[in-house]
Amino acid sequence: MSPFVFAAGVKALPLVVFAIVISITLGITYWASRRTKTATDFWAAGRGISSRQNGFAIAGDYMSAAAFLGVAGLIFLAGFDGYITGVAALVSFIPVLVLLADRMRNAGKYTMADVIAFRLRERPARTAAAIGTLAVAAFYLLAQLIAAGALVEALAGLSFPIAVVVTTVFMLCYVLFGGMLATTWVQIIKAVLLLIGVGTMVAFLLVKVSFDPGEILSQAATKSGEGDKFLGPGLFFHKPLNTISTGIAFALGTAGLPHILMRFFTVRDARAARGSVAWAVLLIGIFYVMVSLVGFGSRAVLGTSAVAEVGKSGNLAAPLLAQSLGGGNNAGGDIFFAVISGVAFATILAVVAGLVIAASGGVAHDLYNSVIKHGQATERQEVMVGRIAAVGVAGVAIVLALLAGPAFNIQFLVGLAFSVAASANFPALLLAILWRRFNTTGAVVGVASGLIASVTLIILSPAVWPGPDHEGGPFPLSNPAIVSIPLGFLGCYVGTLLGSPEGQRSYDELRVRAETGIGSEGSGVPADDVRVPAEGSGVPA
Amino acid sequence: MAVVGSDESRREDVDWEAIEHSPEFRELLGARRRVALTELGIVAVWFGGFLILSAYARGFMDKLLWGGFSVAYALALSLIPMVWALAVYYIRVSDRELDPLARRAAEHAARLPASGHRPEADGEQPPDDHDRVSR
Repeated sequence: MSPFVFAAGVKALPLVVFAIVISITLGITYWASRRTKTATDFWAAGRGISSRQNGFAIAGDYMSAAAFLGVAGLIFLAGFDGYITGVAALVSFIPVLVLLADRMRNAGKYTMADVIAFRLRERPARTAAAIGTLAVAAFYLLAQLIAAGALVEALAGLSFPIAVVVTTVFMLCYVLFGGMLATTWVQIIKAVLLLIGVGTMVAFLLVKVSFDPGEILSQAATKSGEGDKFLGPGLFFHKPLNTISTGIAFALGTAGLPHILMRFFTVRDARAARGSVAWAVLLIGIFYVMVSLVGFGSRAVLGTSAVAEVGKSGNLAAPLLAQSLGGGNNAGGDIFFAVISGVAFATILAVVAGLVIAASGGVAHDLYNSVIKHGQATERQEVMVGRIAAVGVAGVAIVLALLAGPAFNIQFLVGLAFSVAASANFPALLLAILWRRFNTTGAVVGVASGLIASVTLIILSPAVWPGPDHEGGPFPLSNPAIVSIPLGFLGCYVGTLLGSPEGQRSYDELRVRAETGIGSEGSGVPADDVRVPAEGSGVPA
Repeated sequence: MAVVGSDESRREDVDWEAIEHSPEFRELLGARRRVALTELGIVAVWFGGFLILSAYARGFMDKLLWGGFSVAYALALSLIPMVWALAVYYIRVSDRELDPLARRAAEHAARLPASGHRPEADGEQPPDDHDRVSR
């Protein structure tokens, strides 16, 4: 990257693109900040997002750095296995659509916990749901921040601590001043930029092979040294059960990711919530086809000699491919590299902002207002606590990311986030909506068992125990979902049998609200809270 | 079906229990369950089959169909239009079948107090009740 490198290894061109990305997003934040006044504005963008906009934002949440650089990199390193999580993540939207999307919009207000705790005893059920929310957000946030630091370090030459702090500070600006509205629009614009960027790479690739995508795959297989095996599964997930467990974690995890579920509260009504899923799967489907071509294309173009350059998890495969497609070590290559790096940076900023908004809702709306203040906090207090919580969460995440360092194995953090989402949040959410007998004890035991099982089994897995990448932990699988999801459901069931069915509102009410939209939170003007929390309902078992 | 805590639901102006037991609402639940289970079944078979083949039939998945396209890659690609079709179909069923049923169930709710079927109707109906129900 000859012409644009400073003495210290800081690359000027990527930094220029980063600066452009940041100024656009700060502009959006300024615009959004003038429209963010109420709690509904702060967490649900005033419920004024259209279904197409929301579809782009959901797709944006999904097209994280892990989904772009991570999937392309894993395909570069291990071929087809890298593609399995991508496809599983797309499939996950069908359970979200037919089980959750419109029901969440109808029965909830700002957070996943609204729906879980609706007819249960407020304080214990909400505390459990908030812990599930915060656990997923924390693991995912930490993974993204470490990835951000390592990437910005590699792409632009900034040091890891500076990169982590800079990323967090800009992301906090969106959240604090622009709330969900800014976060959503940053996400939408990033989704468009990412699709254009990846699309351009694919177009360059296709020109190279005279528009025969099969040629990309054949060349990748030849250059991999593995032959046709590179185009089939098994090179990354050696154990068959690892393939299945990881696939299940990604296929059900979405249904428990708080920052994705939260997006269904930002649209006008249930119909718009469903429509946004259709837009999201359209975009994500196109995106993953293109990413698979970028992944295989990077192997075909860069060959085996690049294995050392792309990093341990292959994250630099896509930017290096852009460099090569742009012309290699000349201005064209440097510009393409810088643009793709800038898009990756925008991706990280946007996803991290969404996670922090979800976590701030968990702290302010669930824990502070509903659990501590019995629902009596004013809207201003709630939003203020939400902003403080965002700063607090970001601060903790910075400290943890710096302690972990750039070499930390983030793959297990992402696996952990999806596993907790699928094992702790999803069972409680699903049964709260669909099972009449489900009760508070069931929710608490279910979330606890899903969370504890996921964390424990990950710690005992080969990725962590006794050291990274060691092939012999007490628990043989790299992702515990195949065991921890059943344990989460079992916890819900056993807890329900042990508990008693007292709640503050009836299951009938939740059911009718969820299915028909009667009494759902209106759009635009924040209606008076229809759902008055019950006084004296908060005695924990 | 007296759920403990129904004190709370009685405090609301809508008789949730009556709507829940109305034939319109039951029909809505049945129709929704049918389409949801069908779609989840298709996903379970198609995606589940893909995962099982990826785990246990790796020799088969490696085979090339044409050009550089392996069985694995073709199957993975086939999941994408499957998801698109299922999403579009579910939304069509929702718009054409489920939403009208939900509206009828809501109208049923609006009728209830007037027709006197509501067990706890003490005549204390705030005027905005109908507004909210028909929203």
